[in-house]
Amino acid sequence: MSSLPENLLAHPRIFRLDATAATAAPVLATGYPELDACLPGGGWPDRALNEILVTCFGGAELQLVTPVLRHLCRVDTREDEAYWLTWISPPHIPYAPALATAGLDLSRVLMVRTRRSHDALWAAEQAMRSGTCRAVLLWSEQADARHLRRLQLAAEEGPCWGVVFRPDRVRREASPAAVRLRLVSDEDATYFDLLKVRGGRPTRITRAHLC
Amino acid sequence: MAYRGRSLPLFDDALPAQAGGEPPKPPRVAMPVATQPQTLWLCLYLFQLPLEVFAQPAKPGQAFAVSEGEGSQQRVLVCNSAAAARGVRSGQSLNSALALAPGLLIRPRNAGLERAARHRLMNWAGQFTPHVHSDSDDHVLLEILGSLRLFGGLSALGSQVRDGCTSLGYSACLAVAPTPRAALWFARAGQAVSVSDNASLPARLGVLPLAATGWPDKLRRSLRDMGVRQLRDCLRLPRDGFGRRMGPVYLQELDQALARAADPRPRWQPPEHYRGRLELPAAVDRHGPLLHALARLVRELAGFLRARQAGIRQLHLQLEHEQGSDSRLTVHLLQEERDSRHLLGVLTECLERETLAAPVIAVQLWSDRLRSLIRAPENLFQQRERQSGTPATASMLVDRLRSRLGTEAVYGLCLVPEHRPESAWRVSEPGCDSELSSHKSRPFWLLDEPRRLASHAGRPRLDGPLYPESGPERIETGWWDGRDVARDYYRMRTANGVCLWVFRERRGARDWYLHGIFA
Repeated sequence: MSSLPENLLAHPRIFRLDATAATAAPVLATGYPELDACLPGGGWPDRALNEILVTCFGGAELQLVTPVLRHLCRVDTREDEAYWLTWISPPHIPYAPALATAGLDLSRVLMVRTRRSHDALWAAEQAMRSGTCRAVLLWSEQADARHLRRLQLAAEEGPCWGVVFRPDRVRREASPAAVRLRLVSDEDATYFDLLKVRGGRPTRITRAHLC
Repeated sequence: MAYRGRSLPLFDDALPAQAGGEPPKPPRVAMPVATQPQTLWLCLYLFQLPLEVFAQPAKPGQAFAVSEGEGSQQRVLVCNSAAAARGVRSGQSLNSALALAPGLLIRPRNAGLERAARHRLMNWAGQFTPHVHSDSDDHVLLEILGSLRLFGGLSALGSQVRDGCTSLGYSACLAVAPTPRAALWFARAGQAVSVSDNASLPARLGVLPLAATGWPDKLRRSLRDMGVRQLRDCLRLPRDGFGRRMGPVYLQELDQALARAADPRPRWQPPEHYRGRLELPAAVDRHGPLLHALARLVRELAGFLRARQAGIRQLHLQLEHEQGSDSRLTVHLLQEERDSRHLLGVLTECLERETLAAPVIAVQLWSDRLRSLIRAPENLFQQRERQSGTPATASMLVDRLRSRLGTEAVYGLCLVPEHRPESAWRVSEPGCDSELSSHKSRPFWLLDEPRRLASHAGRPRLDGPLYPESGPERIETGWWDGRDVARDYYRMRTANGVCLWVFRERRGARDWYLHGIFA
């Protein structure tokens, strides 16, 4: 293995399952230590598409991503750097006072509402590819593996932190996302089901509450 | 006059060498020759302008020509390379041209379009120098001595002008000389030279054919009959004789070309708005050729805006149809823009959303009021503060999304100091700053409209009973604008752990409503 050039191994499409696989790919800490421990590199893969499956839209999914968004807003941005935190077709009104209280910089939030699902996918791809978005959140019922493949490439190209929220029923379908996480909650706990982790192993993590 | 009665040649070295005796006194010329020129002129000679005022034919390889003359006297004036490859030549009668190239597209020459195109080109050229001039439709003159340093020297500037001109769709021959007339003559003769000192002007101009001067045919014929074929021969002629026979105007033109007489050129005053129109050689019903034509106009606009140090917020596009009324599109931009790629990207999205009602014969693009883009100078010793407003590249995405999804579909969020939850925020322009106000615990999701909940024995239900977690928080305000509320808000949890924000009306039926979702 050591004869392979390092830059080849550093390529995001090549992942190693051995102990030295501490990937150089940038990650974003999730804000949940239990989850970080199961993700290679200790966080969401940045510059990639992350897929989060939820039982119904408009639930706890924002608690899962706000720590990252807050972190992205705190990091100083240079003028030429990726700027927007783009939300595409959220299921309800993302409530601005709550977002501000959670530490998001509202002037960097860009909302996109679309009538048709393929418009949402188009907008997501444009946003990810443009290089002007630091993060793109997409809620999509209709996206299939072909669309996700495009989005994954767009997120790599941008680069940006891409997140797609999909309904729980698609969990048996194949997906090109770097991380697939299923969010399940019952009355006394929330579970993170890691269905797929690029460079890691699927696991289930239990957490009492989402903060 | 010191030398009246004696024929003096125009040219010092053309004097016959006198054997012995005292050396001849150099003749006095109209103006002393300064070796270091005060001006440097770049001439763009547009040798295919009559053809290039039209957009390119939609079909690649389509032969296209512009004709001149009336009735049976019509002749080919200029043709494109596809037509030239089939043997069409300038000056051919239309019948023979059509025999050579049966599908030849022919449009009559349109002087109005040529003038408009030249004016737009002058507007565009204003980005290189404030002194742009032109007095006939086939050329544009730029005074560039003061711009050389900014653009990194003569060759860098020259290639920028040439590349820019090509991207606008005009073929031009470029020549640089210390006097405007010499630059024009070089360019018209097709010599892409650059002469930067006055001393070498006579020798370099001397080899040009007389046609380069653009003098009337009759004059050129009579000169040719005298054995004068090049400017050099012309310069050997006696000065007063030349002036008397050919006209003092032409003598002055020679003096001006050689920097011996002043040649003041008024500056072109650019207009307040941009307006460009491009006719298509034949009606098109596809987007591709339209976008190609549009790209030319947008690049002109971008050059114009750079010259004016301005940007635009609104752009209008009009498609002219063969029949029926024209279609119009208006593009709104998030910020002042002048980047051609940005503008073209937005226009492309806009145009591709439209279905063409009928074949298009011309596109027109015009701008609203220009907005100044001169930035305040930055302070060297101050920490750079966060720029207000969004970075330029970031607004490109907003414009692009809006051009396809509509302006209202893309927005930002803004806080409003207000107790009513639905009024505590509003939609704003993306990138709009809002002052931070502290709020109590609020849900991440707000429903568009509060949803009425069923209730049982005074307690709300949603697929089962709801268990209160905290509350009530009383919000009772807004009596002054008719949308007053009186509510008690509770945080409640469902049986399967979803945390909701519900309220109970304090008046009327005292119903329960679901207003938001925590998690």
